[in-house]
Amino acid sequence: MKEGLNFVLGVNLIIWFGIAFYLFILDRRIRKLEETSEDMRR
Amino acid sequence: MIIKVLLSIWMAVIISAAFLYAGAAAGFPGQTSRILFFHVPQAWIATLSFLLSMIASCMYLARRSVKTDHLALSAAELGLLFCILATATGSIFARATWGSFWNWDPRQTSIVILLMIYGAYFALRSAVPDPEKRRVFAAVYSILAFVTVPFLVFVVPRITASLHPEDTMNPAKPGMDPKTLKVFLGSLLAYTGLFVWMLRLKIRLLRLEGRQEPEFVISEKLKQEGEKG
Repeated sequence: MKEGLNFVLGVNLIIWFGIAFYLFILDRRIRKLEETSEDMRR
Repeated sequence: MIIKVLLSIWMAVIISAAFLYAGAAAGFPGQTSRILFFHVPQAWIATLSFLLSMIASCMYLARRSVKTDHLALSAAELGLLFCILATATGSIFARATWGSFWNWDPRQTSIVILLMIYGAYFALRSAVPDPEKRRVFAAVYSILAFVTVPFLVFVVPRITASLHPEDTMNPAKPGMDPKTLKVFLGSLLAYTGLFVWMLRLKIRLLRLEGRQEPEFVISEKLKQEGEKG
């Protein structure tokens, strides 16, 4: 049972770090777009 | 940036603690009770999102500010997302404890009705072409939709016989193991942080999209001409 639990924990951590990595990338892309949009307005 | 990094680490700590620190609750088959650390915070975030969407909608009707409409839309979208996640994780628990993924239990039925109500919110938004009318209709609908939330989430599953566990899993009631309670509260905090992060991203994205809309471009040009004149 403990081995199974470790496997589920590992899968959960991989999924979570995948989500966090995606959010960080999205955050950076939005920031760049905001900067470009701000420059265009000026 | 530092808060986002800390949140990422905090969530990883909570996931690890959910499996390694907290024990499995008695009365549940195998390790199934550990779903508490993921399923309940998802349901909490869904309810919080719908509440936030309703408050933002009230503010939109009072002030007619596009920012509040963006907040209402973003919150409703995230509410629907977390509601779907809570339904999916609940179904996995149902398979392990009740024998099948779907049992038409009062809790499951009420959540399906809630998903349909909030699904209709997006159908309404996409059906109205005029932005001003769309925002007003969506705001009124969001307020009306939230009226059903307390009944569907808290009242209906409690007034009828349900398979959904309440006593062992409800932290408001005594009997929850202190270790479980610690991880559960930590998970609530982590999910709330994640929700705030996602909400801010969505709002910023909507603001960027809004800048490309013709009405915004025209108003900006008029402003610039006014400044020149």
